[in-house]
Amino acid sequence: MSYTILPFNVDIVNNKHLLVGMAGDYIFLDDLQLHSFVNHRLDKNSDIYFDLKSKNFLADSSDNLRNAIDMTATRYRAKKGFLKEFTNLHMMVITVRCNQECKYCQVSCAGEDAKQYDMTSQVAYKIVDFIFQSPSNNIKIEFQGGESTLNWQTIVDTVIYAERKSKIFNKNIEFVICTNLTTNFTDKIDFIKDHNIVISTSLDGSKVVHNHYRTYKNGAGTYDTFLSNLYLLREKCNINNISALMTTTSYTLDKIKLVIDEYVKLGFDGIFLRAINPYGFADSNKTEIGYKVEKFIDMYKEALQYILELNKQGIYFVEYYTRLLLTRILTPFATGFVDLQSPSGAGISGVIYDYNGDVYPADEARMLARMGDRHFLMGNVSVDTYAQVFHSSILKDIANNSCLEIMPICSNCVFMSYCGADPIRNYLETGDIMGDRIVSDFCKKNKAIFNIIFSYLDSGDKAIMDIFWSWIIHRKLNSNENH
Amino acid sequence: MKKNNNTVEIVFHRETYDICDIQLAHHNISDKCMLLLDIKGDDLLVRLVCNDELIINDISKEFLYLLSQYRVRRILANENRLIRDLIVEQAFKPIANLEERVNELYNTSI
Repeated sequence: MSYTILPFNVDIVNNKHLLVGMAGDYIFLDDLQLHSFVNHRLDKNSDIYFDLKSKNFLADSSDNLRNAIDMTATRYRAKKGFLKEFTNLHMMVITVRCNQECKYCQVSCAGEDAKQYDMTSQVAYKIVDFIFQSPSNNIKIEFQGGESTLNWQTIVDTVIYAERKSKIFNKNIEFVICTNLTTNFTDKIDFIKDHNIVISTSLDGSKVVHNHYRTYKNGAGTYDTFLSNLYLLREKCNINNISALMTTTSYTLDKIKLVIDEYVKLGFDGIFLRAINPYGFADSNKTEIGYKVEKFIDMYKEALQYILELNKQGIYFVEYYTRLLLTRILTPFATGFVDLQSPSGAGISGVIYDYNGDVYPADEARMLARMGDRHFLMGNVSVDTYAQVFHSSILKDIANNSCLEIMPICSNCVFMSYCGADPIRNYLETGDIMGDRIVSDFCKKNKAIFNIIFSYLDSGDKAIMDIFWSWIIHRKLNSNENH
Repeated sequence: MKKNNNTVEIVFHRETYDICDIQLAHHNISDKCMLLLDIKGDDLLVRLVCNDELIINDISKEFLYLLSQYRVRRILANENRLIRDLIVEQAFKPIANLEERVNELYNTSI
């Protein structure tokens, strides 16, 4: 009796055939195994037959097929769980002003005195009213800039108003302030603590590395002020509420170990190896700070290897993007990363409100508007209704054209179950929101990273698998061993 | 498959290709050479033209790999399309007569 083959994508990874099913189960096969499998010649008593059956790559009875379809459907639904919640991340551009002038800034910020670019409290209240029309029960409001704390009063007003609304609507609410930590925090610290606000900041590495691009408008370095504010916040607030991001430039590519060492030294438990985005100042300064995607991949590989070595030495330290992808590969759960969803999370998982109430599906869309192209403008909170904005043709267009399952190249890609689309970047690079994978650095970068991760997974190295699982379950290796 | 100095030429018969395979053939070969597609009668003519004769052998190997992938995918495409549709439908709107539809599918697939 033969068997039915269930859907999967396949490609060569680490000199083997990697097969990935619709719900993200994976298996490595050699040439003979693959061709025996697809030609229905597998030995029913072989180990590989049972492996394929247990992972729902094949079914050998009608009942078995029904169960496999039902189970795969359940897991597929779980992976797409972010759709059910709809928009829970709401980013508010509190001001476009900034006290710094970083060469890689993707925002193209305004001068420190340009208060016409501040969000007024009246606009902020309208945005909060808008936010609470979202069907999501878990609302996260992220204050962005420019340097958001330059317009502190609007942050305070928004937090107080949104907390009141959350009680009325019985929804969970969380606040994040994105800040460069170089303004005066002594008068803000109590409010941050009292309202349990999370701080998201930027750190590029050691003092020399950080000060290379992260400068005040007069060119002076910002590291010392950053550090004193970091210590101040850590002293008064929950240490877990403070995280940092780095931006990789051509300058940091060959200094990544120093960058990681700085993060470890300052007590961060991980790093997000983030490539530069082609917007704002980053675009106009790309000849100085940019690099080919291959260079970023080499850096990622070196950094991941170094981080794994640190973990082996007992230092719990996570590469956050790797953790995100591992969670997608090794668990059935949905992950809430807006930038890598299918359909795209732009406007669905996250949305951004500009200082004047304009609504965009993603920060990159707002940056594009600052560069002169308002293609992705969904509406304005002062003149449009929630339904008009979220039922807009822009959002439908994004959703219709960002499902990997129907996108050329993506639909056949072995990594499709774990990956996502970036329609705004596609539009910027090709003029088409579906984009062209052949020339896409986004695609090249993610494929290379998946290849590196799957090579580790295929290696079967127990120590590395322990580290990966400790990252996924957010538990340090030592405490893991105690269980 | 015919191979000249700087060209690899393959003919697919109409019943053995679909749009997904053409997309696959585009994959990985972009910056090294040009892929020309042409319908001739019932056949799809695929020509791979490289401007550097020295790399044609490497490209041929890559193309052969794509072809082996293509053959696997042909087999899968016939069996999988209906199952894929059932899974997506079941994921978002549970199917009342799933058992009946699976039985029908299973009996025709093996």
